[in-house]
Amino acid sequence: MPRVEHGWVSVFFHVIAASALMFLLLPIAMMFPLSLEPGTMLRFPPQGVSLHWYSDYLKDGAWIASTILSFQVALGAALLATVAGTFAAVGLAQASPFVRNAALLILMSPLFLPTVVAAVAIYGVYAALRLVGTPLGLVAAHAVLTIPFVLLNVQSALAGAPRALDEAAMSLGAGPVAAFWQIKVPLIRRGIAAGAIFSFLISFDEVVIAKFLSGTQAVTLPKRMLDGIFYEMTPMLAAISVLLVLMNAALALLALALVRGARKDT
Amino acid sequence: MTSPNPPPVASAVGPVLAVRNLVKRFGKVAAVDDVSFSVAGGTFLTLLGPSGSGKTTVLRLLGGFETPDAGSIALGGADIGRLPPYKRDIGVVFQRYALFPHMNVAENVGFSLRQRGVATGERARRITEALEMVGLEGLGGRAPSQLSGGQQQRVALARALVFKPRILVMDEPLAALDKHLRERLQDEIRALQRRLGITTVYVTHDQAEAFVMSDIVAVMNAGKIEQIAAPRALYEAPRTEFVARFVGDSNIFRGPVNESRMRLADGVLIAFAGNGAPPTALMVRPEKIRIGKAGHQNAGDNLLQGWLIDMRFLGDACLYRVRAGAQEIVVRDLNRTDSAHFAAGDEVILTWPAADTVPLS
Repeated sequence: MPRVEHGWVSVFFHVIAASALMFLLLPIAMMFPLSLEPGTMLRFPPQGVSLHWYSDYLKDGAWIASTILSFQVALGAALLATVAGTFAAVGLAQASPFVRNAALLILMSPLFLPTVVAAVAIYGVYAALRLVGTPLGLVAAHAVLTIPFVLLNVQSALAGAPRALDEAAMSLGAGPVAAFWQIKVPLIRRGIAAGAIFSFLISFDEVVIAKFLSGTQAVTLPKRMLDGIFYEMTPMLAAISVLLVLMNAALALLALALVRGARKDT
Repeated sequence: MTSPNPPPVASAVGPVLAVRNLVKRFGKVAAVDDVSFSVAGGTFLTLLGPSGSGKTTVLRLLGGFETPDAGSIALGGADIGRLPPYKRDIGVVFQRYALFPHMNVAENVGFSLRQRGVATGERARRITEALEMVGLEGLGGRAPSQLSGGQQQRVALARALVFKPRILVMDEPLAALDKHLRERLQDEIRALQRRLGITTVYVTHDQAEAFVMSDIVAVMNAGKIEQIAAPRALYEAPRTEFVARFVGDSNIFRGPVNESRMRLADGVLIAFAGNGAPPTALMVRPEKIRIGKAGHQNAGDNLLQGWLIDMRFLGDACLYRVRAGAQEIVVRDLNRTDSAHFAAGDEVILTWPAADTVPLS
């Protein structure tokens, strides 16, 4: 990219960039003042300053149950997707190009298939299997949805673990299992961790599939929030949103640091 | 650099390594096409050839990283052709060293001992010993990335030798190093190999490297071994035009053959020391030819007249290009005090003995 000259052109681009950032961040930042509203209506500017919606959330059994469920589902989905995605990435790196491309197309399909289509399809299958409204059903569906993110992260990490290192390990007496755990895994661990964090984040925030599969028993946090928008729109939603934004930002930063570190290793 | 190569310690129990009719195809291409050779105990054998000649594939078959389509590999009498790499007991040094980046030098060297369950104390002792052997004592705590290319190569060598493998195989281990370091490591590796008496198969595309290091050189071309012989025999008596051209410089003559004479296009006869089938071509090395002023008769069985196209001064020698009839001939004349000097355009005569004219098939 050509270096931008100083002067009005530079100012112009800075203004555009700043505007774009504001456009992205302002609605999210708005959540914070909205969550401080003492009344029952979402209002800006707030009529006072209070943290009682935060404590109401923490004291509400149904909301906390949904929160715990979301953590369980997201952890389960991340674990499942990380194991499956890592093995897939490592295995496919050694497959023939035809097999590799075919398998990647299938595994990556959640990225370009509309989630609502997947949700309807999964709902149909789950209804027959009696998995609707079960945490296990959500874990499996979310794992499928997040495998592409593990796959992409591990694939790029594999550049730092060339095949020659496996061969070296095997020539030195390590069987395939020892070579995998002692050479491959340590070298791609940052990619695996980054993939796991992305999986967790995506599952935790996922609402379309949850909307279909939650039933009355397994209502995740985003699903309950979505319902809340329709039935009881209070500043508590803003308070929960602020907490979610903080958690997501922290995890996303961690994942980015891991991806950067992995790149530095190679 | 040339070392008088004493014959390797003869092994009474036949070859340590015997490769028979080895074939490896990638798709329709036979990368290794019916290759057979055997290596006596303690011998340093080099597979020499251009890229794509199949030498690295032979090495990968030895290491167990590829499975042969046909043929056998016997190590100490037992067929290992289908064993996985971790059951072969072969030390491998890879082209780009392939050191484990997440382990320090000592952990790299000790990796094979850990796989074999060698106790911690014994392991430490053998790691120290191996690092001393390659001149890296005290560097066990370093990360591979903190070492120079030459040091990394030494670590790779120590790692491949520490578990006392039955043979050592090396795939162009010095290709990434600069000339001086490469020559030093050639000597070091050769000295170490002699001292340990370990049977070694080495791969390179560098003829000088192959000659300096090896007892036996196998020249490979298009998946086949063209010729396998000691360096001197390979140089003095190449059997095929490919070997003659790939090993050293050469002048090639073609023409109809009648008994031990070849008639060139311009009618000149070239004598050669021949026996057996009539050759398809003749070869003479540039340094075997003597160059002289026209009119001054030099002794020699073969004589060509021509004129000098150009001269390159190399320091230790002059390289002349001479046009003789339809042929262009390269002559390498050592820079001695009494060497005559020639300039482009000079009329010259070239002479050499019939015994130095090598018939090629």
